[in-house]
Amino acid sequence: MVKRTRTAAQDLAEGKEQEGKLAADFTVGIEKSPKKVDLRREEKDVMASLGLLTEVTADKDEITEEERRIEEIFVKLDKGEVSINDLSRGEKTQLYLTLRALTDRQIDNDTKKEYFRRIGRKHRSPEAQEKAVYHEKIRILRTVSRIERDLTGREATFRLPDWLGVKGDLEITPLQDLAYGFKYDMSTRRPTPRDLLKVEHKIRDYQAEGLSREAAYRRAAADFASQEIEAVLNERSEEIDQTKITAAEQSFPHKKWGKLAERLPDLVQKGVLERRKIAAWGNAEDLRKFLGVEERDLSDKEIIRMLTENNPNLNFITEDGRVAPNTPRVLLNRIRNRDWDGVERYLNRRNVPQRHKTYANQLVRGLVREHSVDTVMDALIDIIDRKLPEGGVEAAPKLEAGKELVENSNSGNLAVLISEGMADSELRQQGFKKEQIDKVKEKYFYQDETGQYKLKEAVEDDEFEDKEKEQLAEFAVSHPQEAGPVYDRIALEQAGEDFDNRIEADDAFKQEVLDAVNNVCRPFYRNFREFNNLEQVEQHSQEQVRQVLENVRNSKIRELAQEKLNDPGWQEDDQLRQEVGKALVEENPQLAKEFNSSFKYIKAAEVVELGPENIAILKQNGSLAGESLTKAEEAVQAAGQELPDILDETGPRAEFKEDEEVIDQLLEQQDRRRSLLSIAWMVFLGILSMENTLMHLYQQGETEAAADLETLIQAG
Amino acid sequence: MSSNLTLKQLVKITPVDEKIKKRVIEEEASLTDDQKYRISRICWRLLSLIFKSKLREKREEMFKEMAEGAVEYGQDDFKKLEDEVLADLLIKLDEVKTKKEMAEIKAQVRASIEKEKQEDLSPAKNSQASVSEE
Repeated sequence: MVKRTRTAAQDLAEGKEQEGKLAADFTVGIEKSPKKVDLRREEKDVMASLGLLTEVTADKDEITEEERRIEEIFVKLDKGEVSINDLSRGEKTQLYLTLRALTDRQIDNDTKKEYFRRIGRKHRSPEAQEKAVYHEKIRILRTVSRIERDLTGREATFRLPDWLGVKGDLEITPLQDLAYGFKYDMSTRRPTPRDLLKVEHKIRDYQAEGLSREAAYRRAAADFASQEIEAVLNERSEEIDQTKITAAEQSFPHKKWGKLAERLPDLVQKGVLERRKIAAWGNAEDLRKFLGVEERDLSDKEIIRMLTENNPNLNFITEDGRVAPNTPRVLLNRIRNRDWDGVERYLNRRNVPQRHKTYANQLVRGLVREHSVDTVMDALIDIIDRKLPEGGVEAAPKLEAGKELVENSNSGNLAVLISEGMADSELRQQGFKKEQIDKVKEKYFYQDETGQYKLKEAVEDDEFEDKEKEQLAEFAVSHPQEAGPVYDRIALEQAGEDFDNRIEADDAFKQEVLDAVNNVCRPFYRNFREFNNLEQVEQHSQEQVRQVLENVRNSKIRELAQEKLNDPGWQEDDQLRQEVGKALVEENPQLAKEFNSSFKYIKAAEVVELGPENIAILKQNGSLAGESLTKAEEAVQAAGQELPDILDETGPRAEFKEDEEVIDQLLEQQDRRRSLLSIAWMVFLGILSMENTLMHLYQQGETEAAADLETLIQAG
Repeated sequence: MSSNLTLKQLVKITPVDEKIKKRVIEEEASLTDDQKYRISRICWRLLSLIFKSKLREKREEMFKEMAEGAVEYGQDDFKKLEDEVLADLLIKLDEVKTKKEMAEIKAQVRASIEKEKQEDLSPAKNSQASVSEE
């Protein structure tokens, strides 16, 4: 039993309002007799979180210096000599720092049991116990924040880690903060693990030069900012390139648009690279500027017309007001009715919301808000297409090339994101269409036994064809129900060929057919003269007779086909199985999808389409490795390209194999959160390198664990 | 962002690469308004990140000293810390001569950092706001 000398009520009575509040926060039940006051619940939480409820009596040599220091505070608390509110600021700081560092220790199972035993709670099921621990932990973490606020009089920088999933307590770690970047229009998504890793690498590089963590952080921030400014400065030279359109060309709008069409692949490429900038377009001028045209080339009215007319992807002019909330009904109706003169008259009145100046601005803004950048690019391609004179467009085929370029570039980015374990919903949030995602998954990934997507192995063309045939044969065998009709059809086709061959070469068979024809015809003719050969039948003047021969032929073919189907040896032929498998895949999209998602190989040349940079990232994150990597690299070289160096693969990483085994063993433990904490501890103590640990987790597809780890470490 | 600092002044006090500073200064006259705006945003964001980093660093030092029992800092000390870190950032403003100019710039830096701090708490809203501002 613990004694207390002070209560929250006493604190308040003495006018220590702020501290009294804190004490009240900590107090669950205040008993009047100081002798009977129990240890307050949050204090117990705190002790439990540190494992001190069990470790206080443990061997002193086993506890760390930090724990020893904080234990002294708790001994005082336990004896009732002080309440948390009575602690000096120095002691509170000790408590704060230690709690912050050790905040997850209460997950320990023994501590958990001891904790619930001591506070007299019974949880029937392990799930209920887990849930209770979860809530206790959140309360403890909030306590840490409260102590920080109390110490500094400022908003706490220690916030709840987002892996706790507590709404309203969004945490942004310094690493995430930097990973958000510098573009004012870029925060449309949270940084991905790859973004974080990139930032972490940069910081680590500077730390390796002897800078402190924070100093390295600032240097890295300055580097990223420099890069961003340089990119903005370089835009200028790009714009100069765009203005290569000569004055003479400007006086011939068609030529100007033709020139633009020729440059379309570059334009599309730029669009893909500047997704985020496009996502921040706020007006029609941004669109014109991107295309390098002026208002006289592309008026607001034309923009409205082209964005809305004949474009099923852009049917966003709806009355729900999401896109153009201030657009009057009358204008909407004019747009729908394609009353373009009416629209223009309306635009000329300039009776529009001041913020956007024109409805075209609103529509452009709506376009980028409600649609992916791909749709925006499609719209631009459509605009250029429509601006070109009919029939006189040499550049027109390049429009398709532009679209293809978008697809290829997106495929590369998508493949990387999928390899990093990003869920479909997240990919959709990033603007990728479902069809795109499915297409990339089908082409570049297969699902392993656990349903996870793995990058297909790159092989040479010959090997690919062999593997494909082999797998197609297996696919036919594993789908007997769907394969049945295909076997029937092939049997009939083969029997037809057999029939023709035997008629040519086998007199007995020919006679057999002739007899069958005679037998059928005989009862129908009073003075029937039997046919002597099949040619007579084929050339007979009566249609019915010729039909008899056809019926006999068909009947014979069915017999021959049935013989094949009855022959087990026929169906077991590998080549036939391959043929059946191929037919199944070619004729049934659902089966094709199933086949592709289980087929582990891809032609190395097709991997090249992902782009050298993406291939380098896939190599880095371990999705592309071994023989497959070698083949892909050879194919990249053969295509006259080169893989960029994304990360240094030498140095400490090479010595990391043993650590990887340790991490893997920890990850295999049943209590996953505990595993993660153990890894975090090892990183904290410098046993494992943070960089390498994160890298390994990403390579293993443990992106969530990596993000959690990073959050834990950042949280202190 | 309306700013009394010229782009040149802002870039000079921002610790970006020297070559980049030089380029911005040399090419300023030929940059579009949009480019100038974006470069200034990058500078303010960097200043904000540096401010936050320095604040974190100093706070941790103070916590450490307090935990070791060497010094006891009050809430006021932590509040003053922000001013100190800010002043440290402004030391590089040696080009600014008058007190009035200094006061104006200080107010701008603080406002920018405050804005960043608010935006940090709601990154999703941040993007919306950026677009709306257009």
